[in-house]
Amino acid sequence: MSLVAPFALALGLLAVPIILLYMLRLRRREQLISSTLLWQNLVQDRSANAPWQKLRRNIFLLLQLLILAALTLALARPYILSTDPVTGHVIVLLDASASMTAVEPATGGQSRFEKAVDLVNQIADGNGGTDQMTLIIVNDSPTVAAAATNDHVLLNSALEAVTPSLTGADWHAAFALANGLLQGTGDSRVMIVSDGGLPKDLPPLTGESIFVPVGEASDNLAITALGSRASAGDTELLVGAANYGSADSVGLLSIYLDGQLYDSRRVEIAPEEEITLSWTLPADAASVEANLSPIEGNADYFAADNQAWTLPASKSQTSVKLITDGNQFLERFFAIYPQLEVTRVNANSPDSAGEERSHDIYIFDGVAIPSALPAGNILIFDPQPATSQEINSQISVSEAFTNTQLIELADDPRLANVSWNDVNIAQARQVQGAGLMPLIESDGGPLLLAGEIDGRRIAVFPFDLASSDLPLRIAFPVIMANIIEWLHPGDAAGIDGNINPGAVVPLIPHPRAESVRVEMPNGETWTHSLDGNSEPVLFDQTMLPGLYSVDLYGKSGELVQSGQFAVNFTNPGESQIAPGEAIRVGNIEVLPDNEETRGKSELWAIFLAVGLLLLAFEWWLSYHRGLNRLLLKTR
Amino acid sequence: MRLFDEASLHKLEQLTLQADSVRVGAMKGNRRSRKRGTSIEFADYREYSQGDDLRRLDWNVYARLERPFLKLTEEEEDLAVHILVDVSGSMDWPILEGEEDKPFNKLRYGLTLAGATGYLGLLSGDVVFVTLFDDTYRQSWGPFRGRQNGWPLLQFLENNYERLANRPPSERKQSISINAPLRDYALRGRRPGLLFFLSDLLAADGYREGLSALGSRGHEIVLLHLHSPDEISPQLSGDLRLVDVETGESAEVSLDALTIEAYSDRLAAWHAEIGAFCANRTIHYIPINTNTPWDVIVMQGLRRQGIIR
Repeated sequence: MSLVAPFALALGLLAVPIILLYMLRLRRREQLISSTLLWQNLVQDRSANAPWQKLRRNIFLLLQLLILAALTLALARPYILSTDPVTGHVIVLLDASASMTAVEPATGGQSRFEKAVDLVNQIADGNGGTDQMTLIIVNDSPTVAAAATNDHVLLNSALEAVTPSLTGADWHAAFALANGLLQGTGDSRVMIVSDGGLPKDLPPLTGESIFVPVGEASDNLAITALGSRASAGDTELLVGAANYGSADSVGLLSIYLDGQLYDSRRVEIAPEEEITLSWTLPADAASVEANLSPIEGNADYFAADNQAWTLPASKSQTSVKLITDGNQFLERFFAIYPQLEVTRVNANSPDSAGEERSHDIYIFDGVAIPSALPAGNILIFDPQPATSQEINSQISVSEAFTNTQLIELADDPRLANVSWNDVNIAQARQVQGAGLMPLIESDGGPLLLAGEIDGRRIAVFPFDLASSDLPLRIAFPVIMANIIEWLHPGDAAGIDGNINPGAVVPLIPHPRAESVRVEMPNGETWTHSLDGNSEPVLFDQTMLPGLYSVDLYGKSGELVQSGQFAVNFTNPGESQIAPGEAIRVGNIEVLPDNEETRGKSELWAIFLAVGLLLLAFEWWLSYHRGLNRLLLKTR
Repeated sequence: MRLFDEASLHKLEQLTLQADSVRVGAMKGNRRSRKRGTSIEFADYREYSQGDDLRRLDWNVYARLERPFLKLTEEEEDLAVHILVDVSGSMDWPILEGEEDKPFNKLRYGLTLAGATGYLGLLSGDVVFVTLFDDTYRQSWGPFRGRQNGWPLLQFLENNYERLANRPPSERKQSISINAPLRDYALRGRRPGLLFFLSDLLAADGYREGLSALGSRGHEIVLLHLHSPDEISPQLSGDLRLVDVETGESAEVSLDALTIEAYSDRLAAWHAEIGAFCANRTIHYIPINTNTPWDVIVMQGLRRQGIIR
């Protein structure tokens, strides 16, 4: 048995004044009696005014010394180490975030997560018959792996099935989950097994909180940023690297172009410092990988943030066929819109809608809609009524109207940031089509329609740009950019910029694509059949950092489009692997319940109870004697 | 200071002392003896045997039957009644300031009982010895017989009571022994008889040797063990310095119900011990609480023991 607060034992010195009080000679009243003969032995028994021997036999002194001893011990907080530290219902919040994958000497070659799992397993095995454990895995979306069970086998298998993810941990959600589970349970506590990094604004927990820290080291070199941009025929690469450790660290930063080593640099980074390096790369580099590894003698216990990828030339050109008699507004707009390859065709040319080669987007300006729509997405300006031979059965164009006063602007992403109030239109035509929904409504009819017909996206402006002031308004580039973005099939992956592990990537299929195939960094593939649907496909298997290849295949299995996207682990919160000293739960600072102190059963409550019982007994004895004396007198 | 009133003395006149083992009287008394004697009270006849006093031959029977018969008469003899009263300091208890009567005072009670038993003895024609003693004080009265000595006996007791009750505290405070005076009394060789010993037995050296000495001298002892009510049930509490009124010794004690209970137990054990000692020596043991009227003791207590007929 050891003491948490041994200095409290000094209170035991109070025994000295107590004994002295008992040793003080009482001022006694003199009383004559006929003889002291029969009182002799009683005097020896009951007299408590002098030496030690008599003190020892006084029950009240004995009781008071015992009470003092019990209370002093209670204040000194004695404890014993227990093999069964957690009793009742314990909710274990097991950190499964990226930093838990760190492997350091303190965990003996295991990852922090494996160490934590061993720890939880030990606690689960030590639980008694009535003790229950709930296991919550805390990653970016916390889940309950085992709910209020005392089945050790179930708990062990649940723990075995869990793997840490390269994501952060949503502690707020985990706490909300734990608080929900704590409702209505009596003897419950929450054990947080983590390497720290918990937010400071966590809500209070209903039960007692125990923080079990895992890991000790903080040494970690990380790539914090990787980006590229085209510049004067070259590609500029920017790499950010940081040292999250507590000592200077030296690493080797290597750049790979399309899998081949391009350059390496030695980087020396001070603690808590971040440096930036740049390279000029050849423009034809398709993929760039940056790799930061510690030079021998320097430690780096967290590997997930040592690599990053980027795709400098990921944007493919989109072919656009513009069929017009001449529209300077449109021509000027497409001239500055990036990554579009525009082919202008005269409206009167016989092959205006010919299928000499397929295009991604077809734009019809001031012409009649062909009876057979081309295979790509279509943008139509000022459609003309068709002649009887070329009538389009899906989109009908009828008479013109002039009351173009705005009634309603649909709440639609294609109209995002569009201000239509100052747009004036002289005249427009009534256009209708199955699948076309009006986005802008005026008194006379719709001023913009968009929708899907036979798997192709179609947007229709039923007025001539020249007969409106729209091209002069700020709304024009905005609405055009929105519409082209919608019509633009773009890359197979509809995401620019950095993608973190676990993020959902929308894959936007080409209109002619029938199936999607994604190859993951570990070589596994994922396929999905589109079934004629051109809606974006959500791909969520992005747990591994690296390059993902996306291929879209047409009906006959031909490759219609391909692309790549990179998933990089850049999370400064997780790269900061230094374990937290304490966590804040509500307003309470929860100190680490480390291995030495865990399983410590404090006994102060027992000593306090004993002290109070003795006190009650002393009172009873004193009262009993007083009562007897009273009864004796009344008798 | 009167110890008796007239009514009490009248009650005594109807009582007679009796000893289980009658002692041979030196003088003929009113007491009927189990021994055949020379009085005129006829008891029985028996045949003459050689050596008998011819004066006691019944000549009328001899004339009629021509066989000699002796006429036996009952011997009437007197009884020696010894009354020993312990008048030590502890007997003069309780001392109540300003209270003349001292109703429960052991000394007063003891002298009253001594007077009553002595008076009874005188009424029965017995020879009465009265001795009051402690270590330094000794007063004797007697031997006297005959009722005419009743009044002087009471006068003797009353005078002594007055002297003892008014003695200065310094005279009271001395350690006394019971054994020594009793042994001394036994050795004086007075005629054995019925011996009343009135004491509280509160002496450091005990009582056994003295009583044994008296018993072996042939006395039939009646031990009247006196206690005042406050000795039987002390009405004390708190932290006290108990001062022995006799020896002046003090003892410090914290009194509570448990202590009082322990004292009562000890007192009961002491009584039992004395009772057992007396039973082994055919001593009549009568523990007395002085709140009991003395005539109750005489008429019931002594009768119950067969000392009074």
